[in-house]
Amino acid sequence: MDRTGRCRGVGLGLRTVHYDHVLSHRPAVPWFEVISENYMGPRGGSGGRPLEILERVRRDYPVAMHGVSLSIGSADPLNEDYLKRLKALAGRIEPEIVSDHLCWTGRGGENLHDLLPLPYNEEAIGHVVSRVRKVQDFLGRRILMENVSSYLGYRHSEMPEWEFQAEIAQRADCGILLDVNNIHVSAINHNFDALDYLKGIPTGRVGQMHLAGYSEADGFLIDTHDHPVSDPVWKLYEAAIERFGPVPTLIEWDDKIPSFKRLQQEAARAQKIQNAISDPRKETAAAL
Amino acid sequence: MPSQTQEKKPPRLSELQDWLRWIFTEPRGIDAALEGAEKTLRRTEPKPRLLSWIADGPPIDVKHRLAVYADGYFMRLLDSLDSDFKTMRRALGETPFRQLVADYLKAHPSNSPNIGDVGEAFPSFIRSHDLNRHFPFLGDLATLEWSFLECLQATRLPPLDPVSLQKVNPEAWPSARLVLDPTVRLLDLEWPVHKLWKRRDLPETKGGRRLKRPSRQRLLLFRDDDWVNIHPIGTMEFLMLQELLKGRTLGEACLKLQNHDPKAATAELKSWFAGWTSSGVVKRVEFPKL
Repeated sequence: MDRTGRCRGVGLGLRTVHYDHVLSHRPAVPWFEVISENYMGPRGGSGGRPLEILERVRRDYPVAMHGVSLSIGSADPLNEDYLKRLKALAGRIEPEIVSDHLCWTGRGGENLHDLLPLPYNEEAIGHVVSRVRKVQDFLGRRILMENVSSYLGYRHSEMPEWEFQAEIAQRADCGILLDVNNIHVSAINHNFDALDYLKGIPTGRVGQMHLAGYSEADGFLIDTHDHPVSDPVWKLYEAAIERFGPVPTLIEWDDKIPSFKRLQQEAARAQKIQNAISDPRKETAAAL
Repeated sequence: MPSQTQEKKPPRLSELQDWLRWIFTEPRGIDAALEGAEKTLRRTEPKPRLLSWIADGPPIDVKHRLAVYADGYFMRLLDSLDSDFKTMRRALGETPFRQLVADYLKAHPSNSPNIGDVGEAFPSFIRSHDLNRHFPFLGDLATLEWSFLECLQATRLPPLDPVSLQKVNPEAWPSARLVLDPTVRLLDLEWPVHKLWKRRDLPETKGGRRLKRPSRQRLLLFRDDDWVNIHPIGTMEFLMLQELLKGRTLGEACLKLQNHDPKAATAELKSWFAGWTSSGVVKRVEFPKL
């Protein structure tokens, strides 16, 4: 099952500060990921200049669309207007991947613009599964659901997070976007073994991975996307590639964004890990 | 930790989310929300004391875990408004701007999946805010900044083909309707806020941040291939564009303007038209079908 189309290797997030560089230099990047909402335009509007830029980028690169406001776990009804606009954007951009987060972002019509954790229990699984199915039917394609970094948990959770994510992917027949940094952040914040997380995820469902940097305060980690990928996350990524194979991977860097060259260096490191694990001979030859 | 009433039965997903939303969005902060001093809070607690269902454990306690989300909620929206109303923040300074945002979010919490929509009601809110009495240019400034964003986010029509205009019979022009680009915005402002807008990237200590005297300013905003253009324009050009935006023909628009200054309108029309077509303000010229 090919869930990722032409997105291969290590891609980068398309961010406004790099628009000019990307359009004028056409850098060697295998694919770009965009935040879907940034190209849907304001309420009642259209995508405007950001969409014009994305369409130009799309002519030269495969694109993955990554959303932050699907709010798949909210107790509110699915936002039909949002879904229509998402579908329209996907129809226009023809992305290789469409993804969002396994979380809730609002309630009572109010949007908190955060990726809020769900309790890992049967009620939440049933709720999310039926909604993922509806979204996939509406969009006419499979979507990937990403694990979020979390800073709190619930006493009434009935299973570990990886079991929750795997169960939803299985029952809803959706893909998994495995955020390796988020696994590490949550593992530290909730005191579990990150490798247990990887072992609990079925290999056939992972269609994409994310790598990013975090901030630390008194032993607690916050997923800020404003640092390079940390050493423990690189190590975990190696384990993830060993288990899931050379899955398309994205370097996420959304705040204090460095030069494009610096992002490419980060991507090259991830690519080297993919090459070394999926084809160790290639890396040995390169080293000689 | 405040005293809690232990809930025996786990909360339903909807109850839990109602409670967390209430905690995270309380403008007076997590302490006030958890102390439960309801008289001081924005809303009544939806399902009291679900706190006992939040798991506790190192490295930080429950209150701090909740605070990560509560602080993040405000900071994220503040950042968004800060970036969308940069000139306003420069005019007010960081702390008053932050207070203004806190007041605004109490009245207008975000209800859109797109965080960029959160400032939609900011211009009208500021006009009725106390700060506007001290700094009466703020409403116009917010209107300009929001119009800039609307212009940036609107979809452009394809460029006008200048060759098509050369074939037009001169007698047909009065019946022509000029289709303006959807990015076009016309602002009729009491304060010359464009001056402040041009200084938006300067440090607060360089160049004036505020306006002392009103002076009517009419602005034309539109987007080209590169970016948003903001041009102060004269009264007659402004009125003419306003009429054209209403869908009037060139002839009808000119008649309307004759009540103002017919000579000026006729004399200037040719040069306005040349400017509008070359810059992309006018995207199509339509004639009635015979």
